[in-house]
Amino acid sequence: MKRSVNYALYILPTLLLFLVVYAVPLVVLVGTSFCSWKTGGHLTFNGLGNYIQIIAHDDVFQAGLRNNVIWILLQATVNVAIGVIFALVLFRKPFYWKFARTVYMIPSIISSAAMGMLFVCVFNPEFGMVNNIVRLFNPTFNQNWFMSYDTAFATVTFTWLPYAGMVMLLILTEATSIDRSIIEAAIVDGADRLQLNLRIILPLLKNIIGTCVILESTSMLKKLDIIMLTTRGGPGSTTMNLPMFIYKTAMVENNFGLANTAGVLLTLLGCLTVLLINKIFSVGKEES
Amino acid sequence: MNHLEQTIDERPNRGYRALLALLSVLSVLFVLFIFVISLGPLLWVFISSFKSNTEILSSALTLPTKWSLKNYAMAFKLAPIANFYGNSVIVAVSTTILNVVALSMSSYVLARFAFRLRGFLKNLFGMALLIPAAAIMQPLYLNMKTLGFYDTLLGLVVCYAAFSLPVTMYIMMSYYLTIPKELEEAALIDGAGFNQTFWKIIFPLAKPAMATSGVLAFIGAWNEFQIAMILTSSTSKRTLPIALLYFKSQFASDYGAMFAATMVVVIPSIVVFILMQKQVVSGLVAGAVKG
Amino acid sequence: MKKGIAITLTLALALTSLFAQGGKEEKTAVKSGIIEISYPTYRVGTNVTAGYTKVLIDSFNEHFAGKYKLVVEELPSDVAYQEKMSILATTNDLPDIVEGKGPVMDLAIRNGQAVDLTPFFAKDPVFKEEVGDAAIASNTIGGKIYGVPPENQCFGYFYNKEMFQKAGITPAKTWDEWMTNCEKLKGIGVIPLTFFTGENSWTTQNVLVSIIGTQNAESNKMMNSQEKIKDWNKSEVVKGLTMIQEMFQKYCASDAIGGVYANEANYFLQGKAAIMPNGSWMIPDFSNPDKAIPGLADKIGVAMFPNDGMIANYDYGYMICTKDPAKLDACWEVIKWFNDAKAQKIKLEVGGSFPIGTKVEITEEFKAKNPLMGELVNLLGQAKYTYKTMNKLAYPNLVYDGFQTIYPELIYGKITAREMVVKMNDISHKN
Repeated sequence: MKRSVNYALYILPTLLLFLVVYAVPLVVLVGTSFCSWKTGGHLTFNGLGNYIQIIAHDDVFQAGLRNNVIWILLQATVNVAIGVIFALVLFRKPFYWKFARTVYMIPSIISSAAMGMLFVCVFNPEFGMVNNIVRLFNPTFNQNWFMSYDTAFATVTFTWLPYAGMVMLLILTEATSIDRSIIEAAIVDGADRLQLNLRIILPLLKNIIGTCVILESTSMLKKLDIIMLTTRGGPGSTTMNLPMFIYKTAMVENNFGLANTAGVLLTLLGCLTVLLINKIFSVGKEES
Repeated sequence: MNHLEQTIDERPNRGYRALLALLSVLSVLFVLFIFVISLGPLLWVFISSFKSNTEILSSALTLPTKWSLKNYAMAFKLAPIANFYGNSVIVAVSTTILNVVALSMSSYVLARFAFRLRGFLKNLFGMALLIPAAAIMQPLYLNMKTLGFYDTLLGLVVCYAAFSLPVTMYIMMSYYLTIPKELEEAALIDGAGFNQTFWKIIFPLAKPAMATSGVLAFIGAWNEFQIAMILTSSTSKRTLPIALLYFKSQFASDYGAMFAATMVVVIPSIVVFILMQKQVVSGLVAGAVKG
Repeated sequence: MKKGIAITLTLALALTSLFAQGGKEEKTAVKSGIIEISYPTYRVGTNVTAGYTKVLIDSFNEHFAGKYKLVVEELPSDVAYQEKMSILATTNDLPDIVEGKGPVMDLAIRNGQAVDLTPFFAKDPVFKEEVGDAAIASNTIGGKIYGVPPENQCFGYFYNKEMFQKAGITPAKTWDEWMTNCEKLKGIGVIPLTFFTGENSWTTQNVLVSIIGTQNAESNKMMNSQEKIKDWNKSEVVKGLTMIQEMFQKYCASDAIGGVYANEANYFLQGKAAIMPNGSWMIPDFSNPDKAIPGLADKIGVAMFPNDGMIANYDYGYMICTKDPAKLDACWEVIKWFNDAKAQKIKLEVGGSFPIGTKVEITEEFKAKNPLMGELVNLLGQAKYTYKTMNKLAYPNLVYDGFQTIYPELIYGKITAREMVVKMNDISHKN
C-alpha cells in the first residue's frame, strides 16, 4: 500500500471526529461572531461591531479577561509545580505512595459539578466544614468565603489551584520510564536527593512538564461548572471569567452573536497561550 | 592547599545540609496538606450523608448520632439513578475505546512521519483543546440534530471522544517520541509492513500511554453533564451526573439526600479508577522493561 | 494482524450496538394513530409540585389512551429548564407544550412559535370561565392570549408564632415596625429574615415589591405594570432598596449573600428563622417530616405585609408552541386537562396551589382541615394593596442574573441604592 494512503487511513477516524464535533461549530462560531444575532431576531452582518463593543466598552468582559489571564498564569506555574513536586516525592516510592497517588487523583476524578457542590457546602458560612472548624477557636467567625469581596477570588482559585492530580499522574508515568541506570549512576557519583531531582530528573521530564503546562493553562479556558455553581462571576465581576461571560451572554441575554464573539476571543487567547508555552518549552521536538 | 579546599567546601555544606533538612520537613507537611485537601471535603460530605437534614444544619462537625441510610434511599427514590448508571457505563466505555484507538493511530503517524499536511493537522487537532464546550453549545446542538445524533447515546460518545481528542493526542505523541526508532527500523529490515509494525510492535508498547489517556477519557465522559443535558431529552438516554441536578431544583432543601446522591455518583468513579490503576501499573512495569 | 482485527471488530460491534439502540427517532405527528405531544417539565424530583404533576400526566395518558400521548422530558432544576428552552428557542425547536416561566414566554413570542389561544378560548366558554378573566389577562400580550397560568400566586408571609411571642411582637402594621420587629427577633437569637441573593432572590424580591407597592397609589400602579419595567428610577424604589440593604446587613443569615432558596427555606423549616415571604404551595412542607422539625406546622402563622399589602400574581403559564396543525387540538386538550376546574382542585388539595379561577370552591370544611390556607383566603379579602412578583415585573435577565450580581455590591456598600437603580436600568435596557 502506498505510504500516504496508509497515513490517510490512520488519520481518518480522528479527522472525522474533529470534523463532526468541532469543524462545523467552529465555522458557525467565527461566522456569527461578526453578526448581530439574538433569539427571534435575524442574522445581520455587523462587521467588527461586536468585537469593538466587547473589548472597548464591556467592563464585565474586561474583568473576565483580566481574571482569566491571571488564572492561566497561576495555573501554569503554581498548579504544575505542585503536581511536579508531589510526583517527585512519590517517585521515591515511600511506603504510602500508591495510596497517595489514588488519593490525590480523587478530586480530579469526580466531576467538577460534584466538586462545585462539595465546595459550596464545605465553605457555607453557616453550616460548612471550614467555618465550623475556625469557630472552634473563634466562636463569632462568620466569613462568607465565596461572596465577600476580600475572599471571593482566592476561594474560587482554591477550588482548582492545588488540585494537580492529572499533572502528578502524567509526570509519574513518564518518570517511571526513565532509564534507571542514569539515576543509579548519579547516586553512585554522590548526588543527594535535591541534586538528583534538579539536575537529572527534571531536565529529562521537560517535555511532559511542557505538555502539562499547556493542558493546565488551557483548562482555565473551560472552567464553567465551578464558577457557575459557586459565585456566577460575583460578587460584582470579581470572579468573572470568559466561559462564564459567554454563558451569561448566550443563556441569559440570549445574545448569541456577542457570545460567539467572546468565544472567538477566548479561542484566540488559548492559541496565544499555547504558542507562548511552546516557545518557552520547545515541546514536541524529537529528542535525538 | 588541601586545608583551603576543605574550608571552602565545609561552609556551603553546612548551609546546604540545613536546606536539605528543611526540605524534608517541608515535604512531610506538603504531603499532609495534599491529603487534607484531597480527602477532607469528600470525607466530610460522606459522613454528613448519614445525618439527617436537621443534624447537618445544627452540628456540622460531629459524627451522626444515628447512622441512617435514609438519605440514600431518598436519593434513589427521587431520581432514576439506576437507569442512569447503565447509560453512563455504555457511554464512558465506548468513548474510551473509540478515543484511544482512533488517536493511537493518528498520533503515531503525526509523531513519526514527516509529510506535507503534518504541521497543519497537528495544529488543527490541537485547536480542539482551546474550544470550550460553552462556546459551541448551540452550533453543536444544531449540528448533532442535523446529523441525527440528537437524543442518542452514540451522539454523546462521538462528542466525548472528540472532547478528549487533544489530551489523548498530546499524551500519545509525547510517548511515541520516547520509543527508539531502532525498533521500527529493525522491523522494516525483518520485512514487516507499515500495518504490521504498528499493530504488532508499537501498539503493545504504547500501553502505559493508552492506559493513562484512557483513564482520562473515561473520567471525562463519565462526569460530563452540560452537553448531555442539551443533547438528550428522554430519560432512557440520560447519564449519571444529571442525577445531581435533581437535587438542585428550586424548593429543594434536602442536604442529606443531596450529599448521598453526590456520593452515589462519585464513588463508582473512584472504584473504577482504583481498578484501572492496576492496569496502569502493570503497563508501567512492562514499559520499563523495554529499556 | 490478529490483534488489529480483534480491535476493529470490537469497535465495530460497539458502534453497531449504539446505532441500534439510539437510532434517529422520527417524531411524526401521527404514529400508528397516536398523536405524541412533547412536554418538558422541571416539576420533577424534589420540586414541590412534582407529586400532582405526575398525577396529571398519568391521568391524561390514561384518559386519552390510544388517541394522545404526553411524552415527558424531565429537566431537573429551573435553571436547566430555562437553559434548554433558550437553546431550543433559537432554532425554533421549542416542544409542543411549554411553560412560559422566566424568559420562555418572551422567547416563544419573539421566535414566532407561541400559538395564540384566543380562538381556542372562544370555542370553549366553559373552560374560559373556569380559568377566569384575571388569569387570562395576565397572560395576554399585545392583545393575544398566549398561556394559562398554573396557579394563583397570592400570599403574604409565614412567620413562626412562637418566636414572635418570645420577642414580644405581632405582625408589623408599618414598615418602621417591620424593622423594629426584626431587631427584636435578632435579640432573641434567631435569624429574622430568610433573604437570599442567588437564583431569583425570591424572598428578597417579595419584600421589595411589597415595600414599593404599598407606598402610594402611584408606586402600586408601577408594581402592577402589565409591561416589563424598563425605568426603575423612582424614589420608592430607592427607598425600598435602602431598606433591603439594611435588612441584609443586619437581619439575615450569614449565607444569605450567594445563598439559594434551599439554604434559607431550610432555616425556616428547621425552626431557626422567623419570617418566610412565600406562598401557599409551601404549606405541605411544614408538616413534612423529611423537611421540617416535628410540630412546626402548629407554630406557623400567616400575615399580610405592612400597610395591608399582599402579592396577587399570575405567572406565565402553559403555552402551545407546535407548528403542526394536526397536533393543535391534542395540545389544547393538554392545556385544559392541566388547568380546568378539576385540575385546579387537585392542585389545591395536593399541593396547596391557589386555583386560578373562581369556580373551585374553597369550602369551610377544607379551611378547617387546612387552617393556614383558610387564614390566607380570609386575608385576601382584607388586602388594601396588591401587586405582582418581581418575576413578572422585571426582565428575565435582571431577575435571574442581574440581581445576583448587583445585590452583593449593594450589601457590601460598593454601590448606593441610587447607583443600583441605574444598573437595573442598564440591565433592563439590554432587552
